[in-house]
Amino acid sequence: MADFSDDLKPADPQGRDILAGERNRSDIDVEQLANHLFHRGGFLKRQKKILDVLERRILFSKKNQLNLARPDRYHLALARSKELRRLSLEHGWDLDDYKMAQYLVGEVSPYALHTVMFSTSIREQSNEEQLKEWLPRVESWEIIGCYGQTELGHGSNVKAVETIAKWNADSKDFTIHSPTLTAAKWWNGSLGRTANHAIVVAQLLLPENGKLKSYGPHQFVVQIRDMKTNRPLNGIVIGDIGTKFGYAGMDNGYMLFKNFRVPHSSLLSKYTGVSLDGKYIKPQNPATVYGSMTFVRASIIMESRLVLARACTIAVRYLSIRRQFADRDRGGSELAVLEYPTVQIRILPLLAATYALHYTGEAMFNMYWSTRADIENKGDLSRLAELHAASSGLKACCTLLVADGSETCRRALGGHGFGGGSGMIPLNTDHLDKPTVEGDSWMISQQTASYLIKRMTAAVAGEQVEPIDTQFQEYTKRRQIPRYNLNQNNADIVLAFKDRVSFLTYKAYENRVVQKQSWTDLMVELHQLAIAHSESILVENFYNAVFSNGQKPAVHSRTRLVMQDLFRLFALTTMSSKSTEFVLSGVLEKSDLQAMAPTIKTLLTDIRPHAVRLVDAWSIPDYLLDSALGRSDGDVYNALWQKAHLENPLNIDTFNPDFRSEEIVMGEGEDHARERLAKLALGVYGHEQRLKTKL
Amino acid sequence: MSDFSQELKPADPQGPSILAQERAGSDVNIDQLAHHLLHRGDFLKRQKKILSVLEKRPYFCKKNQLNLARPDRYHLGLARAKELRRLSLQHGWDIDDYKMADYLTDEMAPYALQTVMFATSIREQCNDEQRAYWLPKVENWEVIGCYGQTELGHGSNVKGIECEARWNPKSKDFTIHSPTLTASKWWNGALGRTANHAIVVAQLMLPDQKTGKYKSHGPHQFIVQIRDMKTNKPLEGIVIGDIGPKYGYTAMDNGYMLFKNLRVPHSALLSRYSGVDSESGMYIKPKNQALVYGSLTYVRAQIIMHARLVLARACTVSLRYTSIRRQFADRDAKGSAPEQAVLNYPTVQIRLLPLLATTYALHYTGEAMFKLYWQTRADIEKNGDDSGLAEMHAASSGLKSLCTILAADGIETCRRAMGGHGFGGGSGMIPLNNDYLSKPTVEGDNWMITQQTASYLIKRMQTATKDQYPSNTESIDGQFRLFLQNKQSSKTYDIYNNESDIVTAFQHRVSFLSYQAYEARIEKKQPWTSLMISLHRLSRAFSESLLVTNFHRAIFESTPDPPLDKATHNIMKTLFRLFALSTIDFQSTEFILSGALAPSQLRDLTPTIQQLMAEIRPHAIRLVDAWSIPDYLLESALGRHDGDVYNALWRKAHLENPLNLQTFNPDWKTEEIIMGEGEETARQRIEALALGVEGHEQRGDLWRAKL
Repeated sequence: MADFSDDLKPADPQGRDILAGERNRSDIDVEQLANHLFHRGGFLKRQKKILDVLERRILFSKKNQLNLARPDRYHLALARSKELRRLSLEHGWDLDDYKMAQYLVGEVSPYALHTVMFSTSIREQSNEEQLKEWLPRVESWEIIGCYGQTELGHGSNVKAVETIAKWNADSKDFTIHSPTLTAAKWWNGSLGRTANHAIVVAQLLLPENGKLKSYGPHQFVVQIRDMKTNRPLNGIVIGDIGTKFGYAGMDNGYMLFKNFRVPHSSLLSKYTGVSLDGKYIKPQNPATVYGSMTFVRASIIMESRLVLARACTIAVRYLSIRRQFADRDRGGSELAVLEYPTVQIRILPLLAATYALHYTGEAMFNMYWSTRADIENKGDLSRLAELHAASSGLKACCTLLVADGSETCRRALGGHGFGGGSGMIPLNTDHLDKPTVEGDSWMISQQTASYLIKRMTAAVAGEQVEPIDTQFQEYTKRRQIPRYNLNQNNADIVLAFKDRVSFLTYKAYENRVVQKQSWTDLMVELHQLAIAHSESILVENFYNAVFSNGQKPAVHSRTRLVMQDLFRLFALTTMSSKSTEFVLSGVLEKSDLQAMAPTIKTLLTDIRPHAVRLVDAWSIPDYLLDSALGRSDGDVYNALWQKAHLENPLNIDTFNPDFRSEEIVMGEGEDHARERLAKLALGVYGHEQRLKTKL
Repeated sequence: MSDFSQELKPADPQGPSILAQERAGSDVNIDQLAHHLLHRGDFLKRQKKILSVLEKRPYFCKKNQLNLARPDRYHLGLARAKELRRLSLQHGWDIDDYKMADYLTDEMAPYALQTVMFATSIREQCNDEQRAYWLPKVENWEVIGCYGQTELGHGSNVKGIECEARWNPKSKDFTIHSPTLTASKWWNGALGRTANHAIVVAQLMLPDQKTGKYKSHGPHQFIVQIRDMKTNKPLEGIVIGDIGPKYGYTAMDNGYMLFKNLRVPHSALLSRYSGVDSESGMYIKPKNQALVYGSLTYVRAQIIMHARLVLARACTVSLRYTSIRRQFADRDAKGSAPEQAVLNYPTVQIRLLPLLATTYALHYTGEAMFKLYWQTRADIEKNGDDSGLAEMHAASSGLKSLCTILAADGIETCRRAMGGHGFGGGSGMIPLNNDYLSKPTVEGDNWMITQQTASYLIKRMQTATKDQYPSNTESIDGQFRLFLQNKQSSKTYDIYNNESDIVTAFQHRVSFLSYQAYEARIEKKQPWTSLMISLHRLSRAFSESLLVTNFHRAIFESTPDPPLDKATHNIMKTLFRLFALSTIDFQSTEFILSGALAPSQLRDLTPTIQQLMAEIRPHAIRLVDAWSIPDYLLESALGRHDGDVYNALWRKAHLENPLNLQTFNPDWKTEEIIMGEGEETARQRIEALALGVEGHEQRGDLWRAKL
């Protein structure tokens, strides 16, 4: 049955025509630019291939997701995880195909830890024997694994985890035990309801002179659930930690041990171990551990650029379609919201940031592989410290940028940005954790600062070992900042960012090394220093990519000019938001500050016509966007209507609005409603492991 | 049955003993400060009274909320709304009691529009006859109402709405009609599934007396019955529904509505100020638009007062938790030192303590706005003097924008400062974040309404340039004249040693930016649109100046009222400095460009701020305690008053989580999801979850959705 809404269409101009017009305004070759951005690993071809499979499968339909209760989201996500695994086999997907599928489904699923942290640990931390025992079972997904490191009481400070693994000299095995409630493993993905095996990080306790001594956190592989019933083994309490901001489909879990015995072989022993007579075998080279952390952080940058690109895609497309107010001076028809400088200043610098993130992500990958090759081929560890420092600061800087940026995009969308049709809900809720996970952004920045202070100390002493030493030495010699021409000379912009880093590093060096101030007191400036360093890296890599000729695959010179504008916009808006530091370091003078706002405004105007094509190049498919506002065809209002009017379960029932009656759904009766509603309000009380018998 | 987790307790030190110690380490008088902050309308007594009722009712239990599907949240929201109304009658609550219950329940409920927008329109826009007819029905809740203004295609630009109401000269009634899909009402609270009446804002279309051609007289309010009073189904000629899931406001049925030539009587047009002559079909022009602005100011003053409590809630949770949470020993400590409270790190303080200071800054400006509102209103009513109206309106626009941004950003800053647990449901930050994030864009988009403030300031500056005689320096005119007189001087302000210099520095920045805007707009005639960014910044500068000025006035220029003892008063002074200096730090470019500060003065900012934070740190817990947010409202394991964080997190996760009652089948080879349900059941069940429904109440038949 139809209703009269079927006869209506949105007021003119239609979104489709507007986007077509926008695309006509710019001569950027979208396909070429997309190839430029995604040359790595056949990304675009792969995206198309996997999309084609997913879009036809019922389980991967996203349209009802936001209507589901959190427990149902887990049910659905588990079903999707299983189906992805089956599809992998059916279509012969490789790991990159599988990852692409995960990216497109856009949810962190209950199998997510299996292919990443769990199998990485098995692969990188097992000795030969362990590898032989576990790897085939992991790769055939015979067992499902998770990674248990963080605890209720400890996250960032891994060294302080409370779970212990005590060596039993008599039985030559370990006892894993949680001495307190805060020792409970907590937050660990896939642990809550799914995994039957876990990597458990515990303090390794060995007897020494009749006492137990801790050798710090070590990894154990432990079976945690029965392979038939999937219920926790005796001596373990496990569950899901409950609702969260995002990650609705993931069963982040908790786990307590009570004197749980595991064999000697469960201690992963590639680098360290315990001999059968209870002696500790020291690790040979902890550096490789840093290496893979760096890889994770480089991946976070690459991932974060696509998250921000998604937010920008939605914002740029919708805001060029949405009309609001006529021009105050000229009148006429309503303006596209994106014509307002107050909107441009929020969105276009973020669009520029997606490109900035891209080139630095690229550079980090290259640096990672070359450093790794140096280590493996020549045993040369010299670049590891630099790589680690850069990746820590960048992780902090980039995740903050992206989390804040996607919220800025959402707010720029106005009212509709708050609705489910925006597609911003999963984007926002699932990525707001990024600043705090994998190293809290305000903690790990200290590692970067610490590295820089060391290098400045070396530079002052006249040493020259690492690339940044030259910059520092040169700075300590002159201590004067030259007059930069930021408006005319792009290379000057890069130098200005570097001088700010040198200035802040020198100040930190003076405070810490010369004046011996306490580390804790200096933390705020150290964080600022790390961010300054990261911004300098972002600016330099961006500059190198768009001004040097080695850009591969190449883009048209016209496109390149736009990219150069994006570089300037990113650099100058960053500078303007950190002006205090630039002023204090002597890089900016009052007259530079004065000139900045008009220059930025000109850049916004120059970039504006290319905005839609610049987001198109990021090639985010509609399936991933899942956004009525951001769809590629621009048919915003029909899509919002369809979703609200016909796909909303609330619109099927009729309700009783009269306060004198406790009835809620019309006709259900008061008693029925009362009982039902009290149950909704109160929820449940209990646990799988506390139920007496299960039929 | 129990399990071994019952025997465990968190590692020492225990949260409750930490908080006890924190409280013992400060001499802030909590009761006195609480009274100082919340004396208006007997807030604290009322809070206690209502709380004791709500906490005993099952419907108002919040612990399962986050586990519910969005449709169920509406069901529960409606049940709660009804119960609140019944409780009001039963306990003889007045409107403030009812609002308190709303505040404590902390959810936008399906009856929320009844007492606010709906009743306000009826009360303020009806002529006497209309009021006599409708008001009793509204006050008895015989009809349930909503307010239909924004549309799918138009929000901020109310004048651009598409819904029309055409006058029919023959039948002497109106036809309400939606000519396009974008004319659909959209976002209107309580419309989706609940209300049976609506205020509908539509373009009033009247035929020209000579040509008969219809012309719009702009948006007007109509009262329209939209659903059948018995069946609660939409009337013929109307399509209504709920717009679906949102970022927050889960329990609210924000709705949409389309009209197809719906006839409403002449009396449906609310006609206190304007109207249509039923004989001639002529438009009756409104007499005084000003009163409308007045009530908008009142709404915005409330938004500021609300913002302070929302931010206070976020600060309560984060400051309590970060003083309990331990992480890393001091890097310089010798030997094995215990881990530090996270709040002892300057990197955490610099995020949280300026926000704590902000709650107080918001408070004093909220107070000042209320006073200004009542005074301006009295001026208008007593001697017809509406000269204060423009300034009040300008201030309220800029402040709405600034205060909601400070609170919305502040909430997220607090959440992130809590690390991993801030991301979990036990933080209590989810509803706070989800619901409050709407505020920067509703009731006037924060980037739009600042133009009104800037426009006012430009006008005042223009007046000041024409009239050089110095007058009262209190008003903005005096401030501007003083600025113009001393424009050539290069005086900077001693923000580190002199508090009134801080205030003058903020005011100088406003004068400078106003003058720049005046030059650009009035003298150089630059296009408005091209100036928008600077105009937004001007509004922000002005609003920050108001926050600083009002804070200063309340703490330095007069005896705090109600009184504070000396120790507490001194901490208020430190909070003032922290708020002002961290704001300067954030906006340093403008302070330098305006000449209020020399670049070299910036050097001492960070060290001074760090020093101020060290002074405030010991009082942090008592300073949030004073805001008196009850645990029931916090609904946070991390922020509980007693500090028993980890036991609370554990109980919530372990025993109150529906997922933990089922065992799942993790084997990918089978489609079974719940252990034992079988593959066939699982497949059907999960496909239904993925696809949802397709259909609508008004379309009769319901299909299971297809891919």
